[in-house]
Amino acid sequence: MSQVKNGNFALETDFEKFFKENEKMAFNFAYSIVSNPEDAKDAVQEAFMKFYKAKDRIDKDKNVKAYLFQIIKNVCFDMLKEKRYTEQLDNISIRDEKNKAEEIDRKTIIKKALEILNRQERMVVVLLTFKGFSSKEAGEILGISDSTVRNHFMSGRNKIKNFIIKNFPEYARSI
Amino acid sequence: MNCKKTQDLIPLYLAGMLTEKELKELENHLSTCKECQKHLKLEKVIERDLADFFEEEYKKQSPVFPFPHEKQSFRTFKKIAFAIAATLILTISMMLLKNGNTNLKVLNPQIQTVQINSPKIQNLVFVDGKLNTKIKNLGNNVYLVQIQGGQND
Repeated sequence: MSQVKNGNFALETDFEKFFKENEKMAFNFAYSIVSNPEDAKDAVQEAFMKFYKAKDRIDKDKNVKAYLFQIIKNVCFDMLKEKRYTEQLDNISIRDEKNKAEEIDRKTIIKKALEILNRQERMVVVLLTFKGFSSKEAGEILGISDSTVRNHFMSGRNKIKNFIIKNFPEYARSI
Repeated sequence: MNCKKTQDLIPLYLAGMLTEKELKELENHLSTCKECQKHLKLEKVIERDLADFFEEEYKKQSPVFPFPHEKQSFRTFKKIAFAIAATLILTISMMLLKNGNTNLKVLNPQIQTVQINSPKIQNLVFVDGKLNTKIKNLGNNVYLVQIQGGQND
């Protein structure tokens, strides 16, 4: 792995190992941007191919993992532009959900909660919640400062919690 | 540190992102405040559920980036035999019966070319299955076996 960290992919197997180690996080991150598992998969595939093609130009002093995730971010945003996605903020009908709260499972609650975040918050929540990156690295990937990352993370996670407490009190009570 | 501030900082606390000073103050408050302890518990559950949510979504799409050697074998011989529409031309290695019987049994069909010393081949039987075959002698002891349909178990 040390070879990979230094941006030195001596063998094809180094690439494979690197991709395998980062595949899940890459998928989660792409999902946080495009909000759709199929598109997230496509984006990761395209980003991995771009990364592979750029292997000779990778700056060895840079954080290679952060570089890969920058590519993923760019691919996802290009994809959003193409598809003219719209933020799903307004699509949540909280009143409806309140009535059906008992029928909704935890997975759906989490999905709904993620949808109320803005994209920056969602990206930061995914990068930091699963201990994949430090706040500094997340900032490097997203092109924002360390303190902005911190604020997005705090507001994103608190939005999720407050959304759940407000709309799905059963969830909060069940713990 | 008051309750509001503590509850806001809990996610950062779980992510190990607090300064030493914040950490101390937060832990002091948490040790005495039941309400904030509830929030800590809830945040841990949310983290777990977030992880479960993404894990499930990931598994449905996995492998996201399959390497060539991970792809499932394209088709087994059986499937090829099923899928034959009109004519699939194979040359098949075969074991010959030495008694001059022109009915041949192929125990382990493989797609490959071999040269054989044989009498004229008239029929070909696949063990445990039936395939309609047509044999053509190409000369130099090379036979072309055309599979025209049927099923090989």
